[in-house]
Amino acid sequence: MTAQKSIDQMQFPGGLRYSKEHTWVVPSGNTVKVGITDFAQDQLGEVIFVELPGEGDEFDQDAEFGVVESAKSTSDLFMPISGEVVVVNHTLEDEPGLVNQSPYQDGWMLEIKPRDPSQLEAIFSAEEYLGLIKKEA
Amino acid sequence: MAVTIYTATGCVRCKIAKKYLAQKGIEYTDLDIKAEGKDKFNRFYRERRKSVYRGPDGIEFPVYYDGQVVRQGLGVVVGHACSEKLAGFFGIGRLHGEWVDGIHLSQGDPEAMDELVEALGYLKGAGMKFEMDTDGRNPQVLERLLAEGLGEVMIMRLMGTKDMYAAQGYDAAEVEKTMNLVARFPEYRFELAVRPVVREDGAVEYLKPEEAGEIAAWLKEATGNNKHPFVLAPFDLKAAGDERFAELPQMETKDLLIYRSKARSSQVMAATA
Repeated sequence: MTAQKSIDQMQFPGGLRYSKEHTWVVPSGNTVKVGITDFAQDQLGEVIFVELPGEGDEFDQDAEFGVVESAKSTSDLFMPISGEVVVVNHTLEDEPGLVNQSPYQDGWMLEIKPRDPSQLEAIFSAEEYLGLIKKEA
Repeated sequence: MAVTIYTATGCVRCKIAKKYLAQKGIEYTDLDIKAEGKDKFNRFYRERRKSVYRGPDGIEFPVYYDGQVVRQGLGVVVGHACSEKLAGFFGIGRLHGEWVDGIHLSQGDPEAMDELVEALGYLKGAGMKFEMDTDGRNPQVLERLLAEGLGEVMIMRLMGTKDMYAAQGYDAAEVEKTMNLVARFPEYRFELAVRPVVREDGAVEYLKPEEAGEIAAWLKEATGNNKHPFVLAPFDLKAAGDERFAELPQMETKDLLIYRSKARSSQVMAATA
């Protein structure tokens, strides 16, 4: 995989939580939204396909929940926290490129009902995640 | 039938394929997946994802679609454009840059040699080099390619002992002729994947070390040479996906040392992959 941007050019909004598998989570009422980070979309390149689970599916933390593919690579998606999928962003089926264009807004993937909200605190802050990817880069 | 060819920006192999299509008078719609063809390719990919091959480096380009079958890779596309009779010869390869591989000389129709030479000749003219393979059948194809100066690397994938070849209906004299022809290519090697064998009583077991020794001895006897590049490799059970082999453990390179030892009695350069 080839990075298009330098880490300094990437966005990691402060109000979100981040996982080591490069997904983000943000609370939204009783549910949380999940997507992949600017770093992850940049590593993938132009996304051409996103496979997501169905509403009602339940996942443990770190469980595989989908696949995102570009012409150059395929990457499994892992759940940042455990919970039940309540809404899926079906727009990505026809417009997978939103993951690249707007990873934290229009490119969100799932809305889930957390099973254990304390897991949110145990994953990374933006600053901690930035430290992690600087080590990986 | 309308043909669409999806290409990647800057893909030299795609340009070579398109030039050949044009030479053959095949009309096609050319779509660059990073430019004007992005949306169409994304839709095509979503609809036919399971038919699109992905290698370790991603989707193999060019991608050629005639409305029915997805064909990918320079060799496959040029082979198909040249003649439908070449279908067995060209498969997906793993090499890039100036190399074309996945050219299986035993799996095509030897009657289509002229077409094969045409397709390979075009690719050679475009600066490509070839890694080809054979299992012993179709020695006349190797002979023709040697005469035409086509083929930089030749790999003979040995399928078993002389008796095993005979049991599959292969002509031993033909296989021996192939062994000698293989050694005339600029670079060559004999490869023996230590594969599962179904015995006459139905038992399923790996090829025995003694049988690897027998194969190496057959090669020495057939070619009068005991110094061929001879590579032993584990058979990939998972990739084979054959239920008959489900009970066998996956062999690792360290398990091949005894095979190497037996093979070295007749092929002193025998090595593990």
